[in-house]
Amino acid sequence: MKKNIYSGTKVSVRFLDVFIIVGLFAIATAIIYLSVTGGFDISFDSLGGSEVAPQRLRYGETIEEPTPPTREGYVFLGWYEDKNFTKEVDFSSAVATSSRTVYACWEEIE
Amino acid sequence: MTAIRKYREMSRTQRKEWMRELIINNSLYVFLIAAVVVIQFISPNFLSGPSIVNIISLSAANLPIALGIAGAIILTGTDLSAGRIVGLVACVSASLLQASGYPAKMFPNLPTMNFLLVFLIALAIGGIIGLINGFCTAKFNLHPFIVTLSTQLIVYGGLLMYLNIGNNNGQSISGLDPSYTSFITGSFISLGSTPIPNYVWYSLVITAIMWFVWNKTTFGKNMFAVGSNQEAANVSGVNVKRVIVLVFGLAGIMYGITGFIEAARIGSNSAATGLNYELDAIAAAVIGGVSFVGGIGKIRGVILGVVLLRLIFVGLTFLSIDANMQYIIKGLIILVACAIDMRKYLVRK
Repeated sequence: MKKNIYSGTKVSVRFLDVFIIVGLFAIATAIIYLSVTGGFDISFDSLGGSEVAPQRLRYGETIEEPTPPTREGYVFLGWYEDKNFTKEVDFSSAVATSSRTVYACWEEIE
Repeated sequence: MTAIRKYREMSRTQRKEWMRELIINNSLYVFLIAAVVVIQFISPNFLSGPSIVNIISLSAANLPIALGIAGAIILTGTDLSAGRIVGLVACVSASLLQASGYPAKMFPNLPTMNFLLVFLIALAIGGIIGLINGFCTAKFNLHPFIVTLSTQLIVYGGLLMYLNIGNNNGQSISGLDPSYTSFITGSFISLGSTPIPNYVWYSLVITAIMWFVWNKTTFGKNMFAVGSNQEAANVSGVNVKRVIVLVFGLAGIMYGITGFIEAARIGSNSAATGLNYELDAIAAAVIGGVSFVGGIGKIRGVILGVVLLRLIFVGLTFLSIDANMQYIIKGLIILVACAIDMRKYLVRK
């Protein structure tokens, strides 16, 4: 057969059989381990305000609305999905489906 | 029928051998399907209506790029520029199809463009870059790895420059024209209460066309011939250089289609759009039986690979495995898929 990517390999079929079975076990173990220790991190970036602790949730768990952060000279308007503040977080229906960050929107007090 | 006759004619040991080959060669599929069943058991929402529509939609979005890259793999090459081409096409398409009243519009004086025209522009961009990849590979006899690695970086640089022109200063391009987004992501059929996006159907049509090209055209036969044995193909009259150029060109067109769909699908496009897409595409192709040896691959294999990969990763999300950790599983799956591919080659030898 012509020269190709596997041409020079000095690996036996037997070795590959073992490798494949070990590989599948490794995948199963990894999935079980990562699932048990897994979770999504919902971070609250208060963008200059007081620290808000992140929440570590499993898939489908509702995100709890944290106590509002404070910032000197500013009024807290709410949590938003993006830094452009186009989409407000609706805590009555927000569930954890991936790790993400939500951002605090502030308005300066005149 | 011949398979059944062959089986009857086998001796006991041959039958054991055959069974063993069958089990090992399909072990990854069996494993992944078993994992899906277990995940469904743990988290019954996994295969619910909305979730299945989501999985089908994600698979449909990833199918054209996988089909394009499969062509390059069949030629014993690879295409590392796929993702960045998708990103470039997505950003260009998005920039030309922003809503007319949108405040942060990139080209404020641009009238509403006909999206079929923009589609042709998308195909042209993808196709031209693909043809360049093919030309450099064929003419200078360079390995596609080198050519597409360079193209990947040059395209990315071009994309970064493009995002700075007009009214857009490197920001994401969003605020797309509603008729464009509804053409791609709108739907006219629902599964229960979940709408099936239109791009699923477009993807199926494109897959059918690729099946026809691979199996029923001389070009397709030549592609497999060049992939199996370039010298033999050359000797039997196939214009090897032209086949290489056209296969990469066709792949580029597929990336263009992917980019056009992706722009509307994700809604907000930036320089990060398309990053690493080729990895998922190559993984899907290899899992689906497209061999690195060259000259071997089936459309149904690519579909199977794309769907299985998507199914597993949605499943891992249901198991609360973070996207970053999913890379480990992805790597292990690719490793096993390559080992199976290598084993098939060694057994044939």
